[in-house]
Amino acid sequence: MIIESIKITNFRQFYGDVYLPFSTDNERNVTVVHGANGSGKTSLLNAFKWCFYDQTDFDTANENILNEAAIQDSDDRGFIDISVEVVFEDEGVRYGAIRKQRFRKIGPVSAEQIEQSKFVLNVTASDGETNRSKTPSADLQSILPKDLQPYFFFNGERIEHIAGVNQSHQIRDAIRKLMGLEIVDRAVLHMEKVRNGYRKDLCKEVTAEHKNILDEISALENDINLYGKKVTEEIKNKESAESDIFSIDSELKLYEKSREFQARRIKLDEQYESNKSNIDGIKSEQKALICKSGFLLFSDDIFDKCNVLIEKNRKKGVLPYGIKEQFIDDRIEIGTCICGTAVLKGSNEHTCLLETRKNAGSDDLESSYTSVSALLKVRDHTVSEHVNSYKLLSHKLKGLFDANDEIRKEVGEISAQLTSTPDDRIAALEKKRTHLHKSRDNAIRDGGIAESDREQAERDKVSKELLKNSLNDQIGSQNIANKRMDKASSLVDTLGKLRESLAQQVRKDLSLRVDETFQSIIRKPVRAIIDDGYKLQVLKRSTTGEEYVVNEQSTGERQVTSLSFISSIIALAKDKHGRQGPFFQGGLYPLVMDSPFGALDDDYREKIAGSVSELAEQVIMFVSNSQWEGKVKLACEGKVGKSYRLVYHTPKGVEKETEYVKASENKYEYSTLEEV
Amino acid sequence: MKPAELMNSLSVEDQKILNGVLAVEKRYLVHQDLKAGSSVDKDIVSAITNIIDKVVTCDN
Repeated sequence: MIIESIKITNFRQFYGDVYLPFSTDNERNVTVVHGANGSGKTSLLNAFKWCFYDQTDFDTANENILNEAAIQDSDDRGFIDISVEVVFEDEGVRYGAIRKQRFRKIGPVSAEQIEQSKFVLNVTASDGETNRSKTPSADLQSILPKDLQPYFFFNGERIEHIAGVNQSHQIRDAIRKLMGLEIVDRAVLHMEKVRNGYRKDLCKEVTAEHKNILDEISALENDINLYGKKVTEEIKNKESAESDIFSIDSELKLYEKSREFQARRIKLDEQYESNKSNIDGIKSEQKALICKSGFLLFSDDIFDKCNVLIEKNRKKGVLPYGIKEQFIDDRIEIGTCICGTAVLKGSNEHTCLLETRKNAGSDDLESSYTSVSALLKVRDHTVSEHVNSYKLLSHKLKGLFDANDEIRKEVGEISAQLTSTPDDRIAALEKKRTHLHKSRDNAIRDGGIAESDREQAERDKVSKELLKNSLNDQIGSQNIANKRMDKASSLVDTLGKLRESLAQQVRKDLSLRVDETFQSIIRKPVRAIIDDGYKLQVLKRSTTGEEYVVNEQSTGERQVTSLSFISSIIALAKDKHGRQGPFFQGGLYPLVMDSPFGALDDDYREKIAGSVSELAEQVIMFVSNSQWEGKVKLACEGKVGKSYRLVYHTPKGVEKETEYVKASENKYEYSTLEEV
Repeated sequence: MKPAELMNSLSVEDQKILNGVLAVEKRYLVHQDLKAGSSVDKDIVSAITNIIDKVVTCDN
């Protein structure tokens, strides 16, 4: 997909018509729009979102998207239209996406929306014939899915959350949608329906008992699906709460009155997690200890009996055995006793040796006697050593639990202090944070319960399946409905495995790409991966050679990590695009970014600017004039096909006009675009 | 197991059905907001049922 142009009419800062063609040159695939703060860069990004999806990310959503000058310039009760038209090309077909909305002026600077926005999609085929799509939203959806818009149209200053907290679900979802895994997802759902259809057919032909089992299996499958959905939903809730907590924590670091508290809380949280990890380690040690020698504590009776038996036999002289069987066998075979007497077969000496052999001990018995005797001698010592080791671990465990209790108390105290602070903003943030924590804990608990219920339903289903199989003989293995139902059932399992296998393969490919991009930008000796659980992690190697997860990254570093992820997923989708095969769809997607250099330092800005053209097939970026000038401009100038300056016209009057800010020629406030 | 290995480990019969099913899903992928029980949803289920009916018969 290549975006050719956007035409904006009366949208936010743009009064009247503003036309903006983008670079469609393969070599110079970057279009840059630079302007002062408040001149309309974010509005340009939102113009795309509004046109395609009737959605914006302004604080007031779509409420104030109508340009004020257009209202002021209109007659009382007059109509004012707002529209955005995006022209783009995809797979040789040209599209014109247009969204319009009509307002009526009801006050000097206010207007009411009089109808819902209307969306049309004009489709021009390669032969030049143009038709209006009858299903414009669905057609657009197939080219640029709405769920994926955060990856094509994003605010660079707000993307760090992707790498900031646990966003595994979001990442897994992006992989699923961008890589065409949706095909397999849908196949699983439909195959389940097909299986259920065959089951209904089978129910008509079997006994009441058989039918009951089939119904129970069906109900269990339904439960498994519902519990699965619940688990997914709770994971999303947990991640959403964690993402919001992360944003609040970042904000609390900015205020002077909360900064120290927040820094202390982060340290405490880290200590808490470290203690938790040590607790898990000690619990494992305790388990190993119990497995190795726990039986000693419960074997007193057996040991006592054994002791009595051995002592009794020892007193009788039976134990330990003086002579072993092998020794006597050897003498008989050699034919002489150790005293030199000949031992001939049938002689008295021979009979005597055979009699002695009956009371001789075997090697196995001797060795058992030796080890049991040894164990009995050290039993008390071993038990006491075992108990002491266990007590020591329990003591350590208690220390860690106590430490975490203290941490919890201190964290609670910090929260109480922040909540009661006179600064309303901080207090409100902390209250929200507390609420989010509860939501997260609830999500973890509810997700765990649902997972456990799902596992139980799975086990119940296996039992019922066994019962069903035993009844199959009664209807005959050749029953066609039964055969087809079994086939559909096994294919549901196969498709499930295929889905996981595909997702893991894409994850591995993507992980390598993310790291490649990440390494080309990041300064530190770290690497980025998407781990088995679909978490975007940054790893560092310790001096002992072990890799560990870097939890504390700066906002700039998180932006680099997130940008690496987004550009990699777009690059991988491009690679998969057009390949033959049943699974991957892939696709060609543009990258439209507002403030991509937001929190980055000069060095990172320069590096990203240098490689920005490689991030996607087409890159459109909106940057502030201060970010654009200097190293950024120099680094990406060779790749820029079109460059525009956003000029803000202010009615306030300016002492000295600049390229970016000019006095308004009329009484209105608006922005215009100038090609540079 | 990698996707290709998984596909190759299946019987010819299963491979035939799976490829047919995936082709049906690919064809209907343009319908993004697919509602359960909608006519498109029913069409897909029917198409998959036909594939299985043709492959799994009384003779095999």
